[in-house]
Amino acid sequence: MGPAPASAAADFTITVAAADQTAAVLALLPELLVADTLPATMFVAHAVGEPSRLLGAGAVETVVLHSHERGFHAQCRVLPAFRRAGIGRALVQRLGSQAAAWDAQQLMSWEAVEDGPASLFMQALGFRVGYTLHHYMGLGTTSVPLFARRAARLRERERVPPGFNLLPLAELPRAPVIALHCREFGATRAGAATLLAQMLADPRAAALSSGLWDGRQLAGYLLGVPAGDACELRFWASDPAYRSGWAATVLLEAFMQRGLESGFDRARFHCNDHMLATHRVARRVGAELEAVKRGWALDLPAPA
Amino acid sequence: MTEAAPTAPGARVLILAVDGLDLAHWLRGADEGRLLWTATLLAGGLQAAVRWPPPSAPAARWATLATGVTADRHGISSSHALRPCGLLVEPVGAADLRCPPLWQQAWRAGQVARVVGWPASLGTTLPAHAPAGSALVADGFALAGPGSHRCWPLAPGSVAPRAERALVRAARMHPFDARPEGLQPLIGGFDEATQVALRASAADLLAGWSSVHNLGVHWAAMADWRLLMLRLDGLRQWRREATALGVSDEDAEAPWQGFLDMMIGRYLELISPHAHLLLVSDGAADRGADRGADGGLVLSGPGVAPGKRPAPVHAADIAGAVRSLLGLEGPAAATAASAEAEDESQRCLQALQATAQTDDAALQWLAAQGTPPAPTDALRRHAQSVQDVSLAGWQAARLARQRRGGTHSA
Repeated sequence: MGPAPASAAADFTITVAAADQTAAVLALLPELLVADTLPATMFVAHAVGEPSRLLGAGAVETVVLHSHERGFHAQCRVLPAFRRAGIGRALVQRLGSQAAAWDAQQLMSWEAVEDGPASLFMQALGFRVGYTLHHYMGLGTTSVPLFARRAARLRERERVPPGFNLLPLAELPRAPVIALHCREFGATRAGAATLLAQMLADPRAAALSSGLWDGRQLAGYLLGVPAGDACELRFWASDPAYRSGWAATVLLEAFMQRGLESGFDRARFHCNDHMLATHRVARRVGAELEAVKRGWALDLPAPA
Repeated sequence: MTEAAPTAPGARVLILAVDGLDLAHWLRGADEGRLLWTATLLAGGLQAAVRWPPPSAPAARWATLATGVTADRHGISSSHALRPCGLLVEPVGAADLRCPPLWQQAWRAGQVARVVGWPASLGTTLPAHAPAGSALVADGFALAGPGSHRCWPLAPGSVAPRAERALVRAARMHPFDARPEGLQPLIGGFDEATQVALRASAADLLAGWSSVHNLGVHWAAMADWRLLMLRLDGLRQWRREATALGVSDEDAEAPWQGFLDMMIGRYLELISPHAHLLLVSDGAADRGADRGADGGLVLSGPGVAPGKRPAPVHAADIAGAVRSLLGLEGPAAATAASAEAEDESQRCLQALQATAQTDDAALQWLAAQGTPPAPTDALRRHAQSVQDVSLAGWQAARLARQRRGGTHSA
């Protein structure tokens, strides 16, 4: 079988993927391999009468991953040669029906995406923006001195509560870190514990990760990892009682400083629309806005 | 158990299955006067130790109780099952259960049976002959997951009939709804650090038990049912978490005994003196993966002589006793040593050994379109490990059945 011509159009049908089609669905949707839970039901689009001639596939992860979310993350992909023929729309409709059968209120994009064909496709199907992520890149050599100056100013103005020390994350009591992680990211305790243990087992990640601890309370934590030629901030959160900006400043300063010490001049971090303190900090230290990505959501009918 | 099983027209049986309850601690609580309703139940009930055959997976044990046969025959030999694609693993469901459980037998006899939280029941559909009022809510229906109660999914196959979904949604309690004052009786006896560490787990367990109990009370209060099966899950996990923090087994379990006592009281009020209440547990500790576990039961109700049965009951015999109580007719399960039992066992083995199916033509087509196969080695390894556990469970159950030989007495 050779590749389809670029303008190939086909009569198609959407069905629940048969057991023997699972490997093919995973080929079309490899992101399912790293999903929290593999969907039990997947859908395929194939040429009518030719179930092995797959044109596209779709699946939803049937778990509400975060406490602020109201539905399931969905992924669907159509072979490039067969796009703009209604296959993606039909797949999304099936995914929406499946999610509604679970009483999910929304179908959400698998991940945040930059504006482009995927976001246009979702907009055309009625998706709206659910959240926006701003991805910044800072240069350690220029940002660290600015961070340090700002952190010093915060201390002079007594904006940093006394008693809080910046400590390597691996040395902090794990329970409060897990609790804050679960609250912020809606993770399960077991999932958070596993994630922290796995990430901090890498000494390079452990060197980049820190927390603010006063012996009793955790003001915030930051989990960084090496990512190619840069260090990247994967997770960070401040306790709601300490979101005036000082915790973000001190944690980010440490992250970039430790990145520099580990040989990374470039450091990436991201924040959503609501993290105003981080936006302010990013602007003040001259971090460059590399990308804006949006997560999309489609409202589903209420359960009967 | 047959001596405690008089058949009565219109008899009703409520089975309250408590996963992981330590019977010795529970009985001590009643002896010490802390568990008044439990003491009432014990005073009028028949007590017996229950010998649970391997494997140790709770799903396998409760399927044994529900079907009256061992895991090598009913097909549930672990908590998860490998799907025919050879890549996906899922919790066991109704499709994996190869022998009719009690509720199916009751429905076939025209009796209203309702089930809440029983393993291997996900995906059950009510047969056409099931009388009106029959219902099943599969295990996992109250599992909250990482999301919030603002959006709490309910698997499509977890409620039968589908019309009862609204009731189930209303009956479920989300852990986020557990208020501090509600948790206080459950964790208030621990030191502050332990309370903080256990608060979320306590909320999970409180919500899970309350969800089952809400449905149980609602349905027990109705007059139409003959069989009501409720299963309370999560105590084993709770004890594991609490003891990891230095709490003793007994202290960990004590507050939940109080909660269970309240439930027992409610059910006794609702169903006594005309119905049977069977409280059964698979115990707190395993005797080893291939040796089963020791649990216990208490049965109270019309015609039951109070006392303590000297010999333990085999878990596979409980279904037969319930059938007798309900007057269910039809052929009893084949005896453990029969050729028919061996045939059933071999059919289960064949199902567990099913090899992976792959549409190679689809993969070739996708590769030609520039979409290479995904790296599924890790998935396959995990799937293989699940299959290995299932096969080991089947083997252990079969050996235990053969050892028991012709002693099947129900």
